[in-house]
Amino acid sequence: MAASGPTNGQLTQSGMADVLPSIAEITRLLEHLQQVQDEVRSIRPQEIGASHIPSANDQLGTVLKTNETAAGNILDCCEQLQAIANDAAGEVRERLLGIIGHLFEACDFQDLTGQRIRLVRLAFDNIDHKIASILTALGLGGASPRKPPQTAWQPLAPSAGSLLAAELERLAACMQRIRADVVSIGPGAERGASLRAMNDQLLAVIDNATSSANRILTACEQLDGVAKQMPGLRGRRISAVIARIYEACSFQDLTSQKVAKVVSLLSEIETKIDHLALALGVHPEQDAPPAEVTAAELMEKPNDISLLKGPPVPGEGMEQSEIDRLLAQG
Amino acid sequence: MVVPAHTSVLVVDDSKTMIRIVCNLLRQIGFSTIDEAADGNGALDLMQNKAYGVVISDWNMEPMTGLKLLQHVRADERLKKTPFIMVTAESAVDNVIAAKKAGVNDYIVKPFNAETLKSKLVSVLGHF
Repeated sequence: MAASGPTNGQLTQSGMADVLPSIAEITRLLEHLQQVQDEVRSIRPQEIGASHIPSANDQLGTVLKTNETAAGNILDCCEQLQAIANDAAGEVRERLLGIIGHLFEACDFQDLTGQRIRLVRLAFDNIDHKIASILTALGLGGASPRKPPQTAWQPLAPSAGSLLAAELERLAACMQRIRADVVSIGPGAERGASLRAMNDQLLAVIDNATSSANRILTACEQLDGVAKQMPGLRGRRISAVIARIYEACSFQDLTSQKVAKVVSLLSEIETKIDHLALALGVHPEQDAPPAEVTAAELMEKPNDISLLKGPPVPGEGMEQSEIDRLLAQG
Repeated sequence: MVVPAHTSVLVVDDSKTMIRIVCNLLRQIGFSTIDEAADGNGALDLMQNKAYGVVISDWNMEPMTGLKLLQHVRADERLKKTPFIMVTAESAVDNVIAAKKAGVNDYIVKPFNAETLKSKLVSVLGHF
């Protein structure tokens, strides 16, 4: 830039000719940015953080609480049944113990639901953070919006060429970051934060709840058969416990309804992010997936935290038999 | 090998529900001496004062995870031979490899049933 450098604060004619293309490029980028700002304003992505995510978190909080209460109540019932079984003898005792075992096992829905919902909430936080970051970068975030990037311009002055180059770089980097943020939360993004993965986890919560409720109800029907074989007080005690277990099974209906609402909110968020991507000219599906860590690398340096991915969605993860084979290998 | 019913078992999980499930299943199997901890730090505290026949631990806990607990146990001269079973929803191959490398004796993926728990205890402790 020596030939285009300023002389006593003035650009030489040849220097002006050198910086003109940069000025034109910056003007073009700023016009583009202005258009993007207008389009993004019309999409109102701030609603995601202001209403959609808080509403989804409320629904999920209710699901967590309901599941915890239900599991606690069913386990209380199991322990009461255990006491009845301990007083019984022979085949009836064995049948009771078998059924109680199935009931205990079925209560794992609470733990799995909790883990899946924690993952979804983390992903919501990530989306909220990324949207805020995008809006701030576009000068649209917060109660007092930041001034758009052109305010950082310096008048033509000493080192004007360098300033222009730096400004161009800054604008390009800003757009790059905005695009990367959109890509990272879109449907084409990596598993941990993507909308598709959140959707899968939520559907798995409904599946878990339905499957557990069915297992518990089957156990109740079997218990009813045992109760009929036990006349008198013990039979009536079992029947009373069964009634309480049936009541606790309402968790399934409530879980399905609340999670369905969150799935619907997620769909609205997805629509907004799709529109945002369109406004920014981003195509998330073209984004390359992140490089996976190889098993060999893990053997060298296992990273505890990065390994925590939570319960797999159907079709992912290893079966117990596959794990047993892997452990058995030398 | 016959494992006496008084073999001490330490169950480590941050989910109270899972603690109750595992403890009750263990009682059904025949174990009667069962202690519980809500995370790795709590488990280590208990292990400093009592020798356990087997540790059954979840992985995903804070602040100390099950994997870190396993690594601490294996690094401690006095505790390192304690049988350790990981019970977790983490079922990716990376997790199993990391647990194996850290010295886990067995690995149970959630959801599991009493039969699986019993068969893993048999494989780690011998028949009982």
